[in-house]
Amino acid sequence: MSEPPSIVYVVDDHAEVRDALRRLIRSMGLQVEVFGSAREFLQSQRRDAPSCLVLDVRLPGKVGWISSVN
Amino acid sequence: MAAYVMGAGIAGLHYISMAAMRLPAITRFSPLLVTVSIVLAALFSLIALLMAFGLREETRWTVPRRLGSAAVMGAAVSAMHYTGMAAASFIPAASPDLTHAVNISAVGNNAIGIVTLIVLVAAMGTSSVDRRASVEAERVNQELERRVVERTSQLTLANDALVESEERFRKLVEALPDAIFVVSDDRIVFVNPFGVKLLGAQQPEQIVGKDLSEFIHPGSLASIRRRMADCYQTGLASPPMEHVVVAFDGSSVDIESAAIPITWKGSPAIEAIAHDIRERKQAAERLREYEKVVEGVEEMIVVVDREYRFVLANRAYLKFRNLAAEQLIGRLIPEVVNPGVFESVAKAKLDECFQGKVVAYGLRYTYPHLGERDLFISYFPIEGPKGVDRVACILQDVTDRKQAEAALRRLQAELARVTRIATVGILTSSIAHEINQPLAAVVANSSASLRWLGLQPPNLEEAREAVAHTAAEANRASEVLARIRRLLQKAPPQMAQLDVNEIIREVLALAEHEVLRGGITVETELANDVPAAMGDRVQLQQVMLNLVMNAIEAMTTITGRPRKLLIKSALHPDGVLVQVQDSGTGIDSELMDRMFEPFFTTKPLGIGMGLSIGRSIVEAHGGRL
Repeated sequence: MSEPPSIVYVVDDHAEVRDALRRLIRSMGLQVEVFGSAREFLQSQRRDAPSCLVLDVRLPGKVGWISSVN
Repeated sequence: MAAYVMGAGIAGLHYISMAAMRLPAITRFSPLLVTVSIVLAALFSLIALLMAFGLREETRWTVPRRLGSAAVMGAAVSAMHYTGMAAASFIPAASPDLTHAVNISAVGNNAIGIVTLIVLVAAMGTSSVDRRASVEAERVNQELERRVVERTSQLTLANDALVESEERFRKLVEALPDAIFVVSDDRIVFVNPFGVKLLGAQQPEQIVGKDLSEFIHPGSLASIRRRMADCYQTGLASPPMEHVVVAFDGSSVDIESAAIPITWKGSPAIEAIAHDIRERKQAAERLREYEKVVEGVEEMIVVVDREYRFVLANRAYLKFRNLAAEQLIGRLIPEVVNPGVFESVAKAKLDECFQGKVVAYGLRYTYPHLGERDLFISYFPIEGPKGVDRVACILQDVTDRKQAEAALRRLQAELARVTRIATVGILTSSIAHEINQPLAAVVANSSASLRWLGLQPPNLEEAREAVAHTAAEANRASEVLARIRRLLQKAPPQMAQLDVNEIIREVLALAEHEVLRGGITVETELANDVPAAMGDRVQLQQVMLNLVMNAIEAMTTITGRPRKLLIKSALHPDGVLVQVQDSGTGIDSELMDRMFEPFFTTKPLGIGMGLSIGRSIVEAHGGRL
């Protein structure tokens, strides 16, 4: 596999939901990285690879969909 | 009288002697001289007798006076005789037999002397008898005098006693706390000091001499006149009667008076003895008022003595027990009340009250004719001269009230539940979210475990972990539902020892989603030293949830400052203090008074029961909101 493996990012404030999603995506053979908030996600060092973001749009604090516009 | 008799005796002697001479001649008497002779005899006799009787008084000259008296008596006989002879004229009869004739002048002097002597002796004898009689009379007289003196001294003593008695009586009349009036011919002729006082006068002169009607109330006048007439007629005292008199200041004075017919300075009069009965009447009136109250109230009142005997029972009690007063008064409590209940409950409480304490307690009692009744009983000690000797018992039949209270409590609980449902309705989206979260985790975890199991070879390690999390999340969802269900369940209140902080935390968990959605920061300052409180968990959670939801809603429109919810618990002298504070606009002072009214709300979708129910719940727990 020459291509860097694609990665799924999960942003959810709910720890149990976040962990469950991580387990599910891993069971599909995909790489996954989880974040508790949009701020944490934006401040993270992301790899340059095909990726996907699973975002809870009703996050408290900085609202989910606004960060998706970012 | 004695002189006449003696004169008649001398004259009789003379003329009878003349007849005895049987003169042979016709004797004629000159009536004038006969009369003169008799008068002379009587006259001389009188003088002689006066002289003889005069001796009784005298002690000197007794012998000469007796002799004088005898001489006068002799003169009486002689005067009579010669006058009598002068009165007679003798006419010779035919051949008179002069052999039998007596020479009168020959006999004359001797006979007269003898008679005179006899009379003299008789007079002296009489005088001597008189003397003895006189001594006897003197003795009798002295005896009489002694007795008179003795009797007089007795009378004097009696008179002194009478004067003393009169003095005593006068003092009594003056000092008597009753008014005394004497009325004669419709006028007041005497009044004692208290009578002066009764009529508000200063001097008896203001009253004495006045007409009775001036002091009698017109309404009493006829009755008083009638009684006076009765007294005069029967001569008997009248029994006391009530009347009204008018005092000098014009005020009416209630009196009770008796009337006695008497004689006042020779005229018939009435003595009236009166006293002021205004105080007594007022006391009687007050007593009637008390009686009216005691008899009029719904509360049952009985009074018992130290022997547990019924002394008094009011109408309400007698009616409740369906008893007549005679069936109760004087009887012992255990004769009328279930003896078991008396011995086990009432007696001890009564004894406590006899110690001077007010006692109150509730009692469920079964009456034969009423069935089971709830009573609220209070005992009040009544002080006598030697401490508490009576207990006043006030009984209230609170059966209906208790039932009404129970019904009200049920209704309130139902209303609270309906209010909770409404609150939960507002929380629907929060609840949905809270259940949805663990359900989403369950779905993800179970899908993941299926995938790990579907691999060749299956990754059992990963599958087990995913299944474990599935179960945990399912439990969490179940817990959320259980919490909601507890809040909505229709169960009677259950009092238990509760940790107030735990209630706060549970409510915050329920409202968590609303808090997050409202962009609200929650701060808690929960003291660790708050004591456990007795209460119903669900009801107190409802109150707390209501306050938290109100706080969240109050801050939805806030911009430009943090939305902050602060919840504090702290130890308070009265128990536990819980404060819920938000950074909203505050409560309008006009709404302060109304916010606890039922159905009062400022929210478009509110039903206005939250604070109203909340307050009644807190107050039912003995708290304040």
